[in-house]
Parts: sequence; C-alpha cells; structure tokens
Amino acid sequence: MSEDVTDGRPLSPHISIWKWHPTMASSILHRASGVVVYIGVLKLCVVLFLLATGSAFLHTFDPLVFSPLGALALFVFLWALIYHFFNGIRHLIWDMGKGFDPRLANIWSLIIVASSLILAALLVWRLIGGMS
Amino acid sequence: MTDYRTDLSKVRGLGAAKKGVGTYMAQRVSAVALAALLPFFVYGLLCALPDGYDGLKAWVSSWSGALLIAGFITAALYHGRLGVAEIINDYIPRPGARAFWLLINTLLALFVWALGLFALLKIWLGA
Repeated sequence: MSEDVTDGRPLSPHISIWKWHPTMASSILHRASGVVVYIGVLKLCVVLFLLATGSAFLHTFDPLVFSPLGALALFVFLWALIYHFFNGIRHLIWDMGKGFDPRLANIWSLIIVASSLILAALLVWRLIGGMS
Repeated sequence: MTDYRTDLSKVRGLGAAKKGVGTYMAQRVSAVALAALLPFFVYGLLCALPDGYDGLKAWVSSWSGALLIAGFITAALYHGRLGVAEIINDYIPRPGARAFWLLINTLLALFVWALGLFALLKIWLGA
C-alpha cells in the first residue's frame, strides 16, 4: 500500500521490528495519552454546552456516567492527563538538551508511568469514597 | 526536445515548507500554559465532581472557575489540534486523505472551542 506513495524513497523502519524498551513505550504512551486527553476535553466542552442549554439530553447517559464503568473512564482520563503532564515536563527538559542519558531516561520512564497510575488511582478512589 | 526550464526552477518549491519551527514553538508555548493551569484544573474538577452536574455548574459560575476552564480548554484544544495534526501527518500517507483529515481536525477543534466558550459565557452570565 505504501510503495506507491513514497516515490521510491525509503520508509523509516516499521515499529514491529523494534525491541520494546521503557523510553519507547513511554514515547508511544505520550501520543496515546494525548489523544485520550484530547477526546476528554472535547467531551467536556460538549457537556458544558448541554449544561448551558439545559438540554435533557445531558441526562441520557447518567446511568453509565455514574456507574463503575464511568469511574473507570474517569480513571483512564485522569491517568492519561497526569501521565501526559509528567512526561510533557520531561519533553520540555529534553528540549533544553538535558536528560538524554539512556539508563536514567529508562528509569524515569518507569517512574512516570508508575507515579501517574498511582496518583490517578488515589484521586479516583478518594472521589468515589466522597460520593458514597 | 529542448528543455527550457533551468535547473533552479526545477528544484524550487521541493524543499521543506519552513513552517516547522513555528509549529514546534506553538506546541511548546501551549504546553507551558497547560502545565501551569493543570494542577488548578484537576483540583477544581475533583472538587466539583462529587456534586455531579450541579457541582460542575457551580464551578463554572464562579469567576475563577470560568476563567480557569476558558484558559484550559483554549490551550488544550490548540495544543491537541497540533498534536493530532502531527499524528495525521505521520500515519496518513496519501496527500488527499491527509488534507481531508487535517481539515476535519482543525474545524472540529474550532467548532468545539466555540461551543465550550459559548457555554461558559452563558452559564457564567446567567449565574
């Protein structure tokens, strides 16, 4: 499929031939979490619009939103938000030309993934505790 | 057959678009704005959520909440549009399809931004 659109120029190596390592995983997660947060912000704007117009349509999904599945969705959104925030700060540090030591970069990848997961879980757990 | 085109005229316009630095900087500037706003946004959101939609409405009705959300969704949609455009440029090789999705991406961000700001104004003015 791609042969006819590159005019014979070489393609970069396909992702399937790479060995997985933490910095690569965190790089892909940065993109994926960015998309999740973006969808979340789009949804927030739509919810605000329905709230402002007083539309009854807003309450159509209430059983889903205020269910364990809704809590899970909030967890995924918050985790993506916090992960993208932490890793984004690391990207800004990289942009200043610092933090490129491979061993430390791998360790930081693991720290960022783990800490964002824990923080998001704590926040959602507290929130659900506050509602019941 | 004689070719009247000069070598220079054949290569003109084949290089980079020279807009990369602008996009790069715009992505970073909006990132810094979002990083500064995010802790307040998450705190406000988590304070509002236990009261459901009423809590969300009360948050938007306060001037600090309205300003914070307006700033956040503006920077986030701007930043997100640039990010999604990067993904489209990376993964959609056909120029026609790429242009189509870049157009959808830009229009969606603008439309939803207008929707969000209108909602904020209406709730805030009505409070």
